[in-house]
Amino acid sequence: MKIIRWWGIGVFIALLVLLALSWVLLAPKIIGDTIEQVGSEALGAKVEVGDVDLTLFPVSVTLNQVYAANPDKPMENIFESSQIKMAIDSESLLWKKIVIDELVLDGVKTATPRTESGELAGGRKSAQFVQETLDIDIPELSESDIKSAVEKADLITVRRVNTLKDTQQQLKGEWEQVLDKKAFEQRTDDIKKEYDRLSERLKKNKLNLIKDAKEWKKLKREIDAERKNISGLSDKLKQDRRLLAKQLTDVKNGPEADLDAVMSDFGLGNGIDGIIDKYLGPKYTPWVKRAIEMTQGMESEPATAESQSETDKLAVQVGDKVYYEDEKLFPEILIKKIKLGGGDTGWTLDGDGFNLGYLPWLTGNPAVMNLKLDGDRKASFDMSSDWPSSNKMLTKLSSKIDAWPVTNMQLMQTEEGAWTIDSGVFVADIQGELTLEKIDLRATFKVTSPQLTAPEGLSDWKKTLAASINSQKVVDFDLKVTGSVSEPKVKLKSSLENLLKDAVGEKVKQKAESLKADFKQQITEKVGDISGLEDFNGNLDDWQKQLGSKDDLLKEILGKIKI
Amino acid sequence: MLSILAKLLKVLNSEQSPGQIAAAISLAAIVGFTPLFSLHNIVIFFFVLILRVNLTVFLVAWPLLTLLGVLIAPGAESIGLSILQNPSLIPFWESFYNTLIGRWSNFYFSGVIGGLVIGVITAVVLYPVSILLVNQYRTKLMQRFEQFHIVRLIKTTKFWQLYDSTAN
Repeated sequence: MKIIRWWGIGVFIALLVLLALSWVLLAPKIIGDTIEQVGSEALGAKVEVGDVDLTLFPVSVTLNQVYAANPDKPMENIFESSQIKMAIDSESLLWKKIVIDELVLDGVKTATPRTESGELAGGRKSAQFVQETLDIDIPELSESDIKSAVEKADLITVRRVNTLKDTQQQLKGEWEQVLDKKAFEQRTDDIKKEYDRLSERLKKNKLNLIKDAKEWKKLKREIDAERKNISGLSDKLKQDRRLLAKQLTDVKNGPEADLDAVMSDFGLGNGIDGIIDKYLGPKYTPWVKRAIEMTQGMESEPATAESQSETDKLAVQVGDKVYYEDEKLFPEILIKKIKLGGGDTGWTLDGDGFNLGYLPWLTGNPAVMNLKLDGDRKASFDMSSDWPSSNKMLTKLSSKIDAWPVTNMQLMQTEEGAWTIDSGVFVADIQGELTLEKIDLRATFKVTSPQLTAPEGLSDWKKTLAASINSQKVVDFDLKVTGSVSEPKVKLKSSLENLLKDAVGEKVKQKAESLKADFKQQITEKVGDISGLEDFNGNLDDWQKQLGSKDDLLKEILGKIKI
Repeated sequence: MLSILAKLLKVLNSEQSPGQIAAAISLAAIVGFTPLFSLHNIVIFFFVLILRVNLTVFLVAWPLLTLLGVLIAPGAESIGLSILQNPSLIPFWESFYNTLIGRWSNFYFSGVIGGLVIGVITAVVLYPVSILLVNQYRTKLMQRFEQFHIVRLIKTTKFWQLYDSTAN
């Protein structure tokens, strides 16, 4: 029987050609659909690509008529570009890396009108979030609620008392061993006896001083060694005293910390700050929260099971990628050059960038991005980022928006409807430096002369809030990011938050004060009497006295030795 | 569906070598247990087409073994991870990753290498087992099947006419 099926080779080649052809024909559609899908999910509004041109020699992708709808204003585009052209380095594609020699964005416009709504079916998740954050409900607590909350709580004071008791017990054991009669007093007694013996001999005959010279010297050495030992013990005693004092202070401060922690569970830890922290997030306004939500959404989206199609679920998946050292030392994605140009009536946009890549330290040169907006709307963005290696980086950022007219900007959405800033002028200033060890970023955002339209039928404090915003000359946000990349510390001060505090503040303040006494009493009952813990200090004084008297004795003996 | 089943029975009952049927099942196991769009599967399809492997059996076995592949995927991924992260194999994988074939093989994905290892082992085991089963079927079961009342009943159906026409 023949093993080879010769016509099979023909079929195989035909299949390969068919596959390659269908890929070339379908690739533009696949690329366009992917950009629309991923972009829409990330933005929360429709992203549309008119058509995609793909050329293979040289490799280039051109996206024509790209529109991204404004998630807050579905009848407006947040971004529009007549053409986005990418010239791709074909050699890098062989190694599954994308190096874009030049990326050109032409005809960039913002805030252009749409003919149909850019809203995504199902609405935005972040809008729902803002709704939740503004529905503040101050808890009603009974005495039994407070008691049970304190009982359940893992009180830090109790833990600190236990730690202090353990330390006291351990130190007591150590010192009793060190100052034990045999080990400590016996040595001093022996020195005293030896001194008495030699002194007696000296009294009998002065010449014995010469005869006993060696023994006198030995005695002196023993006294020196013993005094050094006592000096070491005195230092240790001082350290122990400091340790106990610190632990005792912690114990004394414990009930206050517990009070804050337990009350924080109910959003009452620090009065109005506590409730703002709990219900609006630590120092975040809903706007910042929304940005964070969006970022998290973008990161987690590809991994969600929901994003998998039904067909994918029925196919064997590739699993996790294991990374090995890559000898091809160029980035996974690199844009060597980017050019942006566009504008609208009254303003123009011009920008360029170089060496924007991932992994950035493999690009070889610092990344630079500059954007300039002129006309009615003035803004500039300058960024330079130098990554000479994976563990060294310096990024500098300087960005300014001098005056950007704002119309119909949705500030937030509550169950009563949208809160919209009808008119105002947006001003921003972002300056900072970022290294892998340190972040130092400061940004201020302001909307001057905001004219807010609030929905009808607002409740008491929301009504106050709306009136307060309207009476402001400026609504501002001050953002400060410090710390490190792994542990960034974000502080955001906003006049909006202050207005919110004013609107709900008094109500919460009274509530917090009235409950504080009840919490305090329950915590004191659970922790018990801690006044006796200080008595242990008497032991320290005794041990210090013992060491002192021994040292005095040895010093006196040493003074008498004439050799 | 009926025509596929008819063809399958034809293959089993015909004089076609058991080795050709067994090879089809074995190669289907490799394709089924690994992600379809993998470089090694092009090689498998090449063998399926160029060698006298039974195409009908391959096309029937492939989706069935893919379903099995989906079920064992979590196990395959953990086996794959242990292979890829085995300290003694890391130098090999590292140098392989830095070749063009290595880069396009996707072997550095746990699901691909895990599925491939399980697929190859299954293929090696399935080949003699399939030959044995086909031979057993032809020598013992086929004639007994003919005697079953239900089989006689089937012979009166449209399906049997279809089978009969395919066989002839």
